[in-house]
Amino acid sequence: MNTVPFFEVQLPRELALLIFNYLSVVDLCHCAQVSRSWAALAEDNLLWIAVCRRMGYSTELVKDQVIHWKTVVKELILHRKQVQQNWMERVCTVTVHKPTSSIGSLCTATYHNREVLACYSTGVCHLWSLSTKESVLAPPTRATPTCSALCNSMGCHCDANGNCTLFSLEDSKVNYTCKVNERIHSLDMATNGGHYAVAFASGGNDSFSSLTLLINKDSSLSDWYKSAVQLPSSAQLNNFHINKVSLVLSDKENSPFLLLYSTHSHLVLQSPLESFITATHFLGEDSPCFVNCFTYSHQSSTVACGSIHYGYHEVRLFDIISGVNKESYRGHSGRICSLSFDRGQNNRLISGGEDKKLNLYDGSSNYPVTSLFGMSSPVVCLQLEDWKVVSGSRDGTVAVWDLRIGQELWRGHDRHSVSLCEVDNEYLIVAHIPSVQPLNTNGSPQHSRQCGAVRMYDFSADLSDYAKKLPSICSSSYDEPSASFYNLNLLYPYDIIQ
Amino acid sequence: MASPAKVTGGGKLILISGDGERHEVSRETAKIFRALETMIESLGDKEELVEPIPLPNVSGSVLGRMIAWSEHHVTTCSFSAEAPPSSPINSEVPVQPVVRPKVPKRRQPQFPPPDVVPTAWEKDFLERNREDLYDLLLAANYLDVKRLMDLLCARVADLIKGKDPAKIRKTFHVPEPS
Repeated sequence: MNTVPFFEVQLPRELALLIFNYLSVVDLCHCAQVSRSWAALAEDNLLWIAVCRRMGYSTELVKDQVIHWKTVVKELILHRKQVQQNWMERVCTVTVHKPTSSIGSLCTATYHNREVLACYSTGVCHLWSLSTKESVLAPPTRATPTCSALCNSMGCHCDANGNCTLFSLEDSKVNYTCKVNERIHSLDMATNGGHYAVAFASGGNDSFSSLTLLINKDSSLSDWYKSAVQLPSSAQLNNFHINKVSLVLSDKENSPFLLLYSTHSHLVLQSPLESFITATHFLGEDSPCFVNCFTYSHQSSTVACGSIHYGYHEVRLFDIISGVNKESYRGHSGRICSLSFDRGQNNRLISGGEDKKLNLYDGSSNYPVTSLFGMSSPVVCLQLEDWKVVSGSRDGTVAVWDLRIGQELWRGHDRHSVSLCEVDNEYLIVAHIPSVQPLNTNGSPQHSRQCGAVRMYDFSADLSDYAKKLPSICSSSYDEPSASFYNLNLLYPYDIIQ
Repeated sequence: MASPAKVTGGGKLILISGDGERHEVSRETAKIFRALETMIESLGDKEELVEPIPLPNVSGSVLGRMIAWSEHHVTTCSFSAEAPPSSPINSEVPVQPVVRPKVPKRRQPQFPPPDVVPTAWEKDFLERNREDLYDLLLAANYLDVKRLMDLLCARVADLIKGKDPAKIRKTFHVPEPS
């Protein structure tokens, strides 16, 4: 159909590159085998740097060096396969951080962007970096810590006496502290276009909560505005105890953050500048219902909430901007305790409940596309990433599931309830926090196994040759005669044991 | 052939292809060719371009098809250049128009590849001209018509996609390596 013998003779190189830019990695490799001139084109660095970016890797870091990008892509693909294989076969290095009895039991743990913050009952706080595998001490809390948050270069923790401390992750120095009168029980931190915000809810159990918002003053991290958010009076909403507060990013100039919080019967979105009257209630206006948990996806600006609605256990999706109830998913027979959006495809959502069941929804129908069975107690923690689901239950079991085959791959166990499970490509971070703090008469826990633990699984390492490496005592130096039948590997070869 | 000094009405331009064919196009149509755009804008409102514009790298038949493309896109207006209204203030005598189109700058693969979903007309256009995709591609590159470039590149890439090296050699008439 055409008489062009070569690309290169007829077309300028730039045009050929533009054409090749539409090809996948496999097609490019085929092109490289066609002829020498095609190979020179198909191995052009510009093409492969584009491939590298399309695969989602930043190419900024190594800008100054001359790099053969095709080899980089090859290594990335091999690494990805290795990680996937390791996930399926549970080949990993596990780092366990168990507190000693001198620093008390684990009270709260948070993960964000390869940093883990764990706070212990004596006030000691540890900060681990997964990339450097080092731990540093964060500023201690003044009383028993209750909740913590991390966001980029800032960390924050709150305690039972109402102290809130903000600190920098780089040098672990305290940037700002403030105090409210009651116990702080829920905290969230977010950043949007250079602004940081911290929101926390305080108050006793089942009593009326108050909500405080901190926003930093123009790009300084040591100066913060503190403001109490105006909440409804008890006449408007009965039993106004805030269970969970979350910050929602908005693209408005004057208020980059919105507050999203749940009470027993309501889910409310409120702008901090406005009074409660203009807030959007999502649930509770039309019908009697109970909110158990909620999660928010920034990419699709959707909030999902596990609720009891007219006696049915439902996952209800609301649009953040319009407040419209988009979908209601059914399929649970117990209270819904945990929800997770897929970070890549935002229409996929997984939910876990007290019925010990996991349900995957993809938006195509109101009933689950896949249900996963086999957890032994209520699922309180969930994370969905691509094909894998990690679920943590109240009895301390952590299970990894493969959605493609709909089965469990493997599970781990600890004696305490799972309160954090986070998946980040090759990392899995699980925190087991004791529900009651077992204390001796002198105030310290009885035994370190009652203190909870943070486990970090790293699936990136290539451990395939590790298994082959036997201790030297297991290998024999004895040369077998050619006619021997006995080719046995003795655990203790007789020629070495004297 | 008319005399080169013929003054065309209604803001028309004359383009001369490499093999000497003359094509008369309106200004709006010619503006689709980004390479000519600045030159046309520098003409201002009333001035008529007397001199024809030579396009030595484009053959007559290809230029005809390129004009068909741009005429379609002027009328549908969906992918035409932003077409800012030429300012009426610009009434002073324009500088002598540069008759050579500027050389397009070196292109680099971009990330991600531009979105190319051809409309029905564009699909038909590509289908009609499947015999000389490369001539069109060269002309589109020379005249700097971005949308056509993207479509043609995607189209050629479609010819390569999913083929093993032997099939690619056959499609593109590459001799077997010895």
